[in-house]
Amino acid sequence: MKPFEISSIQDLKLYRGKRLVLDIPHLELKTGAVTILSGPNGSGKTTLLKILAGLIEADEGVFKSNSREISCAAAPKEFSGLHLYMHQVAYMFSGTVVDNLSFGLRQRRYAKDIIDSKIEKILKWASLNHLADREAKTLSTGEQHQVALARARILDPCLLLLDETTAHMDKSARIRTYQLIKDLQNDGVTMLFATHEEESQHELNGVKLGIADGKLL
Amino acid sequence: MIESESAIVAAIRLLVTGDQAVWSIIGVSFAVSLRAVVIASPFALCVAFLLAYKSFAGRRFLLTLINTLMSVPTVVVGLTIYLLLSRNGIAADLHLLFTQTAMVIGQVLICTPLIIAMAHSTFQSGDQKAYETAKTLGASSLASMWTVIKELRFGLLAALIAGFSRIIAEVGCSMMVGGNILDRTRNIPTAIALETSKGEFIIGIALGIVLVSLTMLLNTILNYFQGSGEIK
Ligand SMILES: Nc1ncnc2c1ncn2[C@@H]1O[C@H](COP(=O)(O)OP(=O)(O)O)[C@@H](O)[C@H]1O
Ligand SMILES: [Mg+2]
Repeated sequence: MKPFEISSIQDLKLYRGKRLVLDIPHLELKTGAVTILSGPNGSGKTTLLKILAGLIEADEGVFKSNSREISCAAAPKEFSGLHLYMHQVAYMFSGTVVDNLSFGLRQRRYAKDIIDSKIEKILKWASLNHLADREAKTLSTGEQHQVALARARILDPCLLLLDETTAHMDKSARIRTYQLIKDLQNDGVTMLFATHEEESQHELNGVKLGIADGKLL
Repeated sequence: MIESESAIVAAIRLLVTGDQAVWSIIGVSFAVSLRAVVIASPFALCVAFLLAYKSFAGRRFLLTLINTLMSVPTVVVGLTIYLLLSRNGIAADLHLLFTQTAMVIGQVLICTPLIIAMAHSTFQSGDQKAYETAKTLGASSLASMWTVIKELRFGLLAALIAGFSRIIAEVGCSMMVGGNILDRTRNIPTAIALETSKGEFIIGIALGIVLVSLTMLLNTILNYFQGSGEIK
C-alpha cells in the first residue's frame, strides 16, 4: 500500500477528561507546501501536531489522502515513521550525532553502506560535518534542532510537523534553521509549522492558519 | 568468647585459603540470586514501563499492590511457596521443595516488586520525549521501549542491583524452601544463621565479609558507570 499522504482532516475531536481541547470540523493541508499554524500557548498546537504524527490518538475524526480515507483509530499505525514530529525542545539520544542521524534508518534495517552514504549527504546538507562525532547531548539547543531536522529529513517524511522549532533559538541559529526549512520547502516536503510568534510568519512563505482554544480561526 | 579482631583475621584466612565449604556456600548464593534477577528483570522492566507510559484500568491498584508486596516479609513468601510445594500442596508433584529451583522461585517473587518500583520511578523521571522521538522516527512500540531502556540504562541498572542486593542477603525464604543443605541449598545468609546458632562465629564473619564486600563492589561499579555516563 502506498504511504498515506494526508491532504485533509474531517471532524477531528480530542477530549482531555471532559474538556474538548481540539475541535476541528475541517482542515486542508496543501501538499508540498508549508502551513503555518499560529496560536497562543495552550491553544492546541502541540496536540494537533502529535495527532497528525500518530503519537496521540484522536477521539473522533477522519483523515483523507488523495486516494483513501482512514479513521482516527487507524491513524497512529499509518502515520508513525512517515509523519515526523519534531519537539519544541529536540530530544537527542545518547551517542554521537551520527548515531542520532542513523536511528530511523537502523529501525528500517537499511544496509550499512546505504546508511553511510545517506549520512554523508545529510551532514553536508545541514552543515554538520564538524559535529559528526560529537556526543549529541552536549550540543547547543540550536545545533540539536539542526540535528533533529537532519535526522527527520534523512527519512524522506511525507509530512513534517515542526513544533515551535525556532522558539528557543538565538538569531543566527534561527537564520540557519529557516534556511533548512526553506530547503525542505523547495524539495516539496509538506510541513506544518506551529508557532506563537510573528516572525516565523514573515520568514516562511506559506499558508497561514490561526488556532485558539482548540478551534481554527 | 572469641576476640573479634582475631576472628576477622581467621575469617580472611578461611577465604583466601579457599575453604571448600565456604566457597560452595558462596557459589550457591550467586547461582540462585543471579538466576532470580535474570528471570525477574525482563518482566519487571516491562511492567514498570507500562506503568509509566500507558494508562490502563487498574493501574493505580497495581501500583498499590506492588508497594504492598515490597514490604511483605520474606518468610511469608517462603511460607507461601512451602505450602504450595510441600507434600499436601497443589504443586507437590513437582518435587521442588528444598531445591535451588524453589529458592530461585522465592527470590524472583521477592525482588520483582522492588525492581518494578525502582524502575518505574526511573522511567517516570526520564524524558518522555525519548519514547516519542523513537516512535516518530519509525521504531515499533517494542523497539521504542528498548530505546528508552537504553537511554535510562544507569538508573535501571541501579534498580536491578538493588533487587540483587535484597535477595543475596535474604534469609527467611531461602531457609524455608531451600532447607539449608550444604553444597545444594546452603547460601551465605542461611549459613551465617546456622553457624552463629552453633557458636561458629568465624565462618559467619567470613561470609559476612563476602556479603559486604560484594555489595560494596556492586555499588562501586554502579557509581563508576553513573559517573562516566552522565553529561556534566
Ligand atoms: N496530557 C494532557 N493532559 C491534560 N490536558 C492536556 C494534556 N496535554 C495538553 N493538555 C491541554 O490541552 C490544551 C492544548 O495544549 P497544547 O496542545 O500543548 O497547546 P499548545 O501547544 O498550543 O501550547 C491545553 O489546555 C493543555 O492544558
Ligand atoms: Mg506546544
